[in-house]
Amino acid sequence: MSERTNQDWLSDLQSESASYVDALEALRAHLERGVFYYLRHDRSDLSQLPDEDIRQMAQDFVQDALIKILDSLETFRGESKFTTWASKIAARVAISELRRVRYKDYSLEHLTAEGEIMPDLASLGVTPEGSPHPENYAEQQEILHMLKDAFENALTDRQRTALSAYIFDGVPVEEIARRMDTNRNALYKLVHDGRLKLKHYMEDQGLSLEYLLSLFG
Amino acid sequence: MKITDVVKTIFNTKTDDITCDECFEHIDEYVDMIHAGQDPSEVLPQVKSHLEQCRCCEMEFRALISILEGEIDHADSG
Ligand SMILES: [Zn+2]
Repeated sequence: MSERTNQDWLSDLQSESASYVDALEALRAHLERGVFYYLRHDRSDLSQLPDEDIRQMAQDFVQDALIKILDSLETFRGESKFTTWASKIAARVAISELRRVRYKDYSLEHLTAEGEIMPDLASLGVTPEGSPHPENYAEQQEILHMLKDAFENALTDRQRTALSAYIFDGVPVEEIARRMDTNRNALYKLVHDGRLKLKHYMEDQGLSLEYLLSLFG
Repeated sequence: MKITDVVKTIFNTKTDDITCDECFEHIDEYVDMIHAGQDPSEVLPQVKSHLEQCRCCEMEFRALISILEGEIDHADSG
């Protein structure tokens, strides 16, 4: 690929001459190589797909990313290489789309309905037989009760729902946000504040991370 | 999620944190500094701290590193 400077990229992508098409196609090819590489080598969840499917996926993600890139050229402040800036947009498009597909059937209903939101120890990977320290099992159960109390007493309803999805179900913030009619930043903040409350609650009970990791490790 | 991940998520939370959008705004600069052999945590400590607390941004950060690696690999060979 010919070495364009940041200024070359910007002026070519904003021009109305043939250099626009050249730059756009060069950027497209560049991003497709990178996104293909990521999908092929770093996504074990896609490993069963043939190369041609992965290539098609990369092309689709990059097409969506290029629209965003062209729309936001004026926000590029020149503090990185242009191609790094464009690639971060492609990365976010690809991951957002993969998350959307992965969680398309996920619902928060089981967390908002009356009833138990705390998973039991077994679904958190802790069983008396599987534990390296079976003699600690009673204490592990006690900790889970404490965590349950923290969820019930320290959090608002919205925080409880969001944090349960985030912590226990491992759902990404943007997917929780979509289901709670808010945006990723606001949801992240809601979750972050809730995490701090849980942390302080647990610390007030005399618990530390080191202790808990040794108990459950 | 495993219980050890649950407690790590809770206890690794720090008081100050930026938003995901603020992290995204600087992540290209952050990655370029790493590639240039510099330590971005001195200039952009809040990005480093956010990446340690936000698994979603951390995943996007790792994807960006991988994408850039894929772009370079092939550019060199042809
Ligand atoms: Zn984030």
